[in-house]
Amino acid sequence: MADALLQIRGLGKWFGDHKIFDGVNLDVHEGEVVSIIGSSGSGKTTMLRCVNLLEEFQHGTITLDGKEIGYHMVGGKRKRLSEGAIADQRMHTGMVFQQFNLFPHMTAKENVALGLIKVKRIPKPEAHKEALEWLAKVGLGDRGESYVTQMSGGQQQRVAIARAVAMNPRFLLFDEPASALDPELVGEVLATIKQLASEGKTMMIVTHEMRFARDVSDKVVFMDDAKIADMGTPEHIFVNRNSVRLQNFLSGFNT
Amino acid sequence: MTPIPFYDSLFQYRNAYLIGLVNTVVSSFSAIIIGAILGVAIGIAVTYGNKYVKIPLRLLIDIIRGIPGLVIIFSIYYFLDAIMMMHGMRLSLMAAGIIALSITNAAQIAELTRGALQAIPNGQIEAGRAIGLRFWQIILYILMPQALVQMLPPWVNSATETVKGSTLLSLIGVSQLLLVTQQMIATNNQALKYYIFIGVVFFVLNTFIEMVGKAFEKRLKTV
Repeated sequence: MADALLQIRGLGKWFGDHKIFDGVNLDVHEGEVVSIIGSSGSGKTTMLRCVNLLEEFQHGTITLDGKEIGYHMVGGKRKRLSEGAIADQRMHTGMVFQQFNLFPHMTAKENVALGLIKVKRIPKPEAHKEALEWLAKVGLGDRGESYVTQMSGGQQQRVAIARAVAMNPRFLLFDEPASALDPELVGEVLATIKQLASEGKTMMIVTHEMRFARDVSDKVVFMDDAKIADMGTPEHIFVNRNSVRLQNFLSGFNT
Repeated sequence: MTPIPFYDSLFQYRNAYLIGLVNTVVSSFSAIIIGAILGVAIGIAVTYGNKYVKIPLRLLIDIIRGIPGLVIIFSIYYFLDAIMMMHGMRLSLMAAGIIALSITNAAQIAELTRGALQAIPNGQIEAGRAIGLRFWQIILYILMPQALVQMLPPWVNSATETVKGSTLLSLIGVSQLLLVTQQMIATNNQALKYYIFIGVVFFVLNTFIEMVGKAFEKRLKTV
């Protein structure tokens, strides 16, 4: 197997003396879908945010395509890169947030086009055309001119997905993409993510939707007690259930 | 000079009034514009700067906001003029007035900017970062457009305050509407009539500002 696209080695995140997680090792290969499950407070969201360099971390390395991101060594000391250098590295990562975080002063089309225009320097008319194509892909081809505040939660999250994939990132991060949605809107968002997965997009998904995780993932990571407690194929996690902690955790869900 | 009837005096001294009006408008509108630019810049710096930027600016804003406008006008005039005199120059009254009003106004706008920016959820910054925007781009394209909508009504308010505050410049001798009025009263008495007259002029000026503000608000509201 080729080297992993994303390699996380010994990742540790601390707030002072308080450990969020430590010693996290994880490989994500091109085209792979990795779900991260675990109870609230197990550090899964924070771990995802570290991958996108939205959080600082104290130990370990994250490498993308064999190149370390976020930090470098200066005179034997580990230092965080400048915000500008980090911004350039984030171009390769797409992220979808629990609360959508769409720009409320823009239309759906403008939300998707902003990164294309300002980061990728695509001329505005082309960027808008491209944005509409991405919106069509998530089933919102006719809503380009709508302000996002006039849309349902499910539609907003699909705009957010279009905004992330439009940048053509190397991989996509989903932070509990369906957790803020009304139950009847969850399906449309998960279906959109599934479709992207089937097209071979590499993604990491933090989720509480166990059936979805089981269906869509190549690899499932169970975080517990500030570390990766178990990891493997969906069968390994959902059928074998090798530990008491995992059994207890999964017993609360329909899988 | 001998007293003349009120309406005749307005006509006879129309040039003085015109100069007064021009000085009032120029000083207050310059202060509104300079204050806006400075204020927004300081407001951004005080919200997102590191502590070496934040603490001195925070202190500066609080000091300026805590000092009466009149004291600022006198301090600027005597202080800057003294410095310029050392280099063989003089500070014009008008320039001193504009600088003083701009500083007062900038502190208000900085505070408005900070308040509006802090009210924007952090997720907006993260979303901007996630698509690879630089921080200045996030401020320019994501945060400020949203902050401006929040800031506009109090901003219009502070603009009208600046127009009213420009009357204080008469005390360092800038020949604006209030000073002209006081000179008219000195020769013609009838104080009430002259005060009502400039009261109306100021009311018209500030109504104009409020109308412009309302028009902007309408445009932004559709957003």
